[in-house]
Amino acid sequence: MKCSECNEKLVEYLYSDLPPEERRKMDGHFETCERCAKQLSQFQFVLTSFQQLKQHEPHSLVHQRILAHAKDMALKKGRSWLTQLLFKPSTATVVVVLLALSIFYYTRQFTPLGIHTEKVVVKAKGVRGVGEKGDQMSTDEQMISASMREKKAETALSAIPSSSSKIEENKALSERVLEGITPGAQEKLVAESKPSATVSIGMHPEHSRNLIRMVRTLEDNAEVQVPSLQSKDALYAFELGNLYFSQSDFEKAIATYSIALMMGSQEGYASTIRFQLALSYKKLNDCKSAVKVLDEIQKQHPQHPEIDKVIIMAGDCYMDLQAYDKAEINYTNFIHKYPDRKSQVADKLEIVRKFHRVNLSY
Amino acid sequence: MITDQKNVSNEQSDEELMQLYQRGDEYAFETLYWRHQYGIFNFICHFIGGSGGQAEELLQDVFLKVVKSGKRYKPTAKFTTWLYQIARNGCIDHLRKMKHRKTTSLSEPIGSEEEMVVESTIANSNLSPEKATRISEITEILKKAINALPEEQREVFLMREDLDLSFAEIAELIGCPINTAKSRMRYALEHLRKTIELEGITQSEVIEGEVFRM
Repeated sequence: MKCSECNEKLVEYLYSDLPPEERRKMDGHFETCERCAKQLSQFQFVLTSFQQLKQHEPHSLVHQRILAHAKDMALKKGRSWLTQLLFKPSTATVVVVLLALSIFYYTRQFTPLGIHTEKVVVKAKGVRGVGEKGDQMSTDEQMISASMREKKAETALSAIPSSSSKIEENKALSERVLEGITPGAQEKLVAESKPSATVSIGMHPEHSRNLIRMVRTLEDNAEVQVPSLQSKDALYAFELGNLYFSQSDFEKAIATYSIALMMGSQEGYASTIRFQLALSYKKLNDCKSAVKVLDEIQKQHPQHPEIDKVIIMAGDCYMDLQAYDKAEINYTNFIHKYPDRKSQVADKLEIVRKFHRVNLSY
Repeated sequence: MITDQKNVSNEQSDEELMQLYQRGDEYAFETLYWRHQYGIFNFICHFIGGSGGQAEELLQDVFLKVVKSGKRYKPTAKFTTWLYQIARNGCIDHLRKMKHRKTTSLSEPIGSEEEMVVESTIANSNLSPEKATRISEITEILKKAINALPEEQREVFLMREDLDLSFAEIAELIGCPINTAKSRMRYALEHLRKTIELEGITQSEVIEGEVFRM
């Protein structure tokens, strides 16, 4: 075999694409031709070098985002044309408008908006037959109860835009939002054409409707099981949180992750929601809240895939909070779990111990 | 259609899984995703020369396109040819955009490690500082060498190495004769060999490093 022929087939030889006979000829040539053998060795070295480069892995949230989207699309594909039509936001809007109009003509009253809505709420509750609690209540009591719920929803709504300077309130805020989305509140919001509580924190109208439906169903009858809907909506809230996170809107991310956590606390990805929640707090330098969440992850999800980062972040947060003893516990715990990665926290541990000693001496 | 995981098995071909997904089976897509995401993500990272948020966005774009245009997919076409075509086009478009902008994207990956203070450029902490520094240098050299390859050589090299495609499949994908694909591979290897030689990288250094980041 000539060198030029060997040269032509070198790439195929490297990838074992040659027939056995050709390969044997090449092997024979390499034994006699030092130049071609050297070239082969150099090319093999190039490929080894490339293969030694650490392989990349996307963040676990990227997987979740893609799969959640695919799942959503699969659900849409699986629905009948009629269901698909009903699930369209435009169709839903038309249905809501028609419903509102029919309620309006049914009541045939032109009373001030507030009073009118309260009556609609009571009627709506009665029509749905969900007033198990209400059966024992007088109509007046029902009206007061509905009115109070609406107030809660309104308070939550009005608190959202002004919450930017009150990071501390975010967790409580998301709880109030959910608390506010009761049958009465929803009817009122629809009747007054106001955005729903979830819409006001940026949730897609279709998703917010699902959320409202789920909360309402659960509240009306605790025995009604809607696991798929619940899980799906938790994921929506989680996804929305990720969106806010990617847009660096950490306050909204925190509020939305908190909602996702409330609905999906039993989901497999609850630890990831908590991790993102802690990251969001950390981004806002709210280390106090971040450590609470990080401690929860360590207690409840010791197998979390990124538990190493959780431990280090907890240590860093405690260090920021000057809680050097707790920071030390976390860094030591990290070394105990990952002895071969000691160098990652060794410097920090030294600093923390130094400060801890100084504090003690005072 | 209510999805049933029983319908899906790892032995099914990509084309069968795609047909199941077209009928609304989410597990079929999940199986397809886990089968191909790793190769595609590495292909993207090496093609655009980065593993951060831009690469993750591109990976997401690729699979969302599969989701959105799934209806148009016909089982007569090989699924991977279609999928890799989407990935390749995405990378080429991205590089073109970057060329025009001449700026880097501000996007960062979710949960960026930037804030995590757990950055460690060298995965193997048993190395001495000198060796670790050298491996960092080698990583950077290789990264630059791959980025410096002409686009048509880089894509052939990465399709073969990251996606494990045969030269016939590469030729079909990029629309060139098989011999052209092979000669592009050869030129790519020659370029990389020269860089490695010029930079004085030795085989022992690569083997000692065992694993290093790009």
